[in-house]
Amino acid sequence: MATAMIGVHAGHRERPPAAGQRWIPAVLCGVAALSFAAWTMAISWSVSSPVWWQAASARLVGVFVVVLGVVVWIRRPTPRMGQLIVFCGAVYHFQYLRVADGILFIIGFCLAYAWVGINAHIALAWPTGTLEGWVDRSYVFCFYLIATGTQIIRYLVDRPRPLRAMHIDQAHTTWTVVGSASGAAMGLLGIALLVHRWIGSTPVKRRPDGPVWIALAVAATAKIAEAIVNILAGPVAVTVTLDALFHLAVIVLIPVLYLIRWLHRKFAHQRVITLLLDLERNLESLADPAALQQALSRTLGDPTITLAYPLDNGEYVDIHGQLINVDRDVPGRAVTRVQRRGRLIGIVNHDVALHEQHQMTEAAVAAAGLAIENAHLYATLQAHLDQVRTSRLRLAQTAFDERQRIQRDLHDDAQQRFFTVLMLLDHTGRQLATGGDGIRAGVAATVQRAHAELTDAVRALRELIQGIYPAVLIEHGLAAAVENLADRAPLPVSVTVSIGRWPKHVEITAYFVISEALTNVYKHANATRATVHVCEENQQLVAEITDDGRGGAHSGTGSGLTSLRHRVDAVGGSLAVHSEPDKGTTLVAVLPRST
Amino acid sequence: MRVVIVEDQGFFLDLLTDALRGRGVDVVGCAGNPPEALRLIDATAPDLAVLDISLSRARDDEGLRVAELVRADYPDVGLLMLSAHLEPVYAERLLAMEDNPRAVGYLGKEHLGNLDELVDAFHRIIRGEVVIDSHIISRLMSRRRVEDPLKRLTPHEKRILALVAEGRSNLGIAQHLNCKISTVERHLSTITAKLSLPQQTHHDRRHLNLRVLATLTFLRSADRPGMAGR
Repeated sequence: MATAMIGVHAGHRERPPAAGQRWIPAVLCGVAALSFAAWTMAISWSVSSPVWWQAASARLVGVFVVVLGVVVWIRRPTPRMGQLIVFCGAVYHFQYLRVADGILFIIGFCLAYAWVGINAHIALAWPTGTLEGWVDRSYVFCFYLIATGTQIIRYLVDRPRPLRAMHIDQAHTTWTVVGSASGAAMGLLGIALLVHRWIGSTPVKRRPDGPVWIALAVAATAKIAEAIVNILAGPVAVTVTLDALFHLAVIVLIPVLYLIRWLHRKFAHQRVITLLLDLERNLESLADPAALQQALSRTLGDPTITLAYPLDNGEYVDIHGQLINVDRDVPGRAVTRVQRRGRLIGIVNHDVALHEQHQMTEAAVAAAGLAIENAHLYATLQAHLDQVRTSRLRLAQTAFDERQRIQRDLHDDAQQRFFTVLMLLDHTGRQLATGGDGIRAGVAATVQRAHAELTDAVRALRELIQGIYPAVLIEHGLAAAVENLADRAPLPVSVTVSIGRWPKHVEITAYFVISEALTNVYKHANATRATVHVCEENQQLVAEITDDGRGGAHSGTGSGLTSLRHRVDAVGGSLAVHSEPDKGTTLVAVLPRST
Repeated sequence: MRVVIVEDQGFFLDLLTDALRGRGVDVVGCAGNPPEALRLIDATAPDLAVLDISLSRARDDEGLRVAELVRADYPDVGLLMLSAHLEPVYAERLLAMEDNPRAVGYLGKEHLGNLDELVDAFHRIIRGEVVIDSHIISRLMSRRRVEDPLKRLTPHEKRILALVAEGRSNLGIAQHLNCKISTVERHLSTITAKLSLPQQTHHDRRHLNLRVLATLTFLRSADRPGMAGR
């Protein structure tokens, strides 16, 4: 079983060399093998077979196998399997040299069944062309040994003579029986190995490789039966029939296998198209990671597929948002990276056998990439909308809170003083009305008190008005306005504003940020001093408010920082807060000149 | 003393006019907006123009602009800004109209509650003095500072510094504090030494007014990085 972990980039898979570069050696070897086949046929054609179609089918099998080998050589990802099949088709024809004389007969006789060993090699090396594990390797080695070894012994012991007709010479000697029996045993063992492989395979692997295994097992069964008949010295007619059946099986099964694979591919393409159409029709349903994973599984026929999404910090989460480890090598598993516009947006973990159908996998993964990207865009859009909604709500709330503050301030200070003045005037009026001696002093005192109260009320109002609308900001800019904030601050605030006039919306936002930030400092920071620094950097206004307080401020705690962030967002700026415990807080707002 | 009043709120204008006339001030005309004010001043050539700062809803410093125009065209007319807003930056702007500030004043409207003081301010401005509302000065002086140079002063010295910033002459300060003028001068040299302010050598009007500007600038800039203790 393939255990390679292959990183495949959708659309950038490391492809095997294109068929164009490979058909030359494949066709050359094919032509060589066919020439050899033609030569052997020419030599052996005169030797009569019991029936003409038997002779024809036997020879056709070899040609078929060579052609198949060339096609496989060109089309498979690696040329190895095709090379083996072409080789098998060529070696198959050695058996016809048995009609010749001299050295050709000896070669033909000794290598007559070598192709059976190659056949076993093909069966176990399918589909990569490479044998995995010592069991397979020893089995194939033994098969080669037996297929040629028994023939050599037979040649040495039985001293056979060149054939005059196929299948007639089969003198029933001890070594014939040994040869047939060991061949049959090895054949059965091979079928057993294939069955074992079938059981151990995932459905994804079984789908393309299963039919091949079945075909090979069927062909092998015909040969095994033929060998058993040989051992039992059955009638030649039976042997000939079984041989013909074998030929028929090979000639019929190869096109059938191709038809099956073609149908598989057709259906697979259909499923990818369905996935793409689904994407178009139910974009929202596929935006759900679980639904997308299911759709991918269905499309690729791999129920074990899992999707993972990369996080900004380099970690990955599965469709349920759980952190997972994707770097671990798991035998039989492979990952395909999903990329859009050069950015990694997902990882598909799947059966390594899916690489056998890489085109379809790539198509499906690319479709998934569209879905993931769409989902991502959709989610981003939703998040933005939510943000805007929250921001609007928050601004409305802030405006209302502001009104409440003004109402309280007016009520608590100015209004109370006006009431007092009213009472004092009333008192004066009564004093004057009641008359009497020494009233002047009393009236004068009351009036003086009313005077003082009113003066205070006027000053309180002035402070309040200044707070509601910093007129200086509009007429004189940020520097004067922030100086005013510092004048009224309950702790030392040193101010440096090294900018001139800026667009109104920027100045207002900067003023608001500084004012709110300072208010936060007074309220929460437990600071002894604060610094406000405003300057220009790259066409951006940078306002930095620093304190030496307790730090630990967070923007997520629903504090004033959230509303600050919304204000800054509204003009396209950004807000950064550096606030480590006991190290003070620095708040930096960067506001672009134009939104 | 010929005075014009520029104020956009009619009832207030009438009240003020009546009150001033009651105190013997010759109110020669009233205006409600900048063009009217300029025409009036041109026509009457008053000793003093009393101007509100916010004369329109569009801008908050319309009165100051009128003042700047009047000072440029009719330098002999004294200017008093009478406003509900008290902004240090407006005071600085007023003092910056000429290289040598003179005959300008800036008072909060609460002074209407004390007409004696207000009329006194009229006289001082017409004499060429500078008058700054004590509220602005106290705000600047009470500002929190990390390194507060004012902490080097005794409360009495602070009081004298505030009176200097308000535009009082040494005699004025002495009268205000009910002490000898020499005492005031002694205190002043201590203050200038303690705050490293420029030494006062002359006592004419020009230098008194420059002294106001210097003090205001000092109060504004003390504790600004790189400028502390200047």
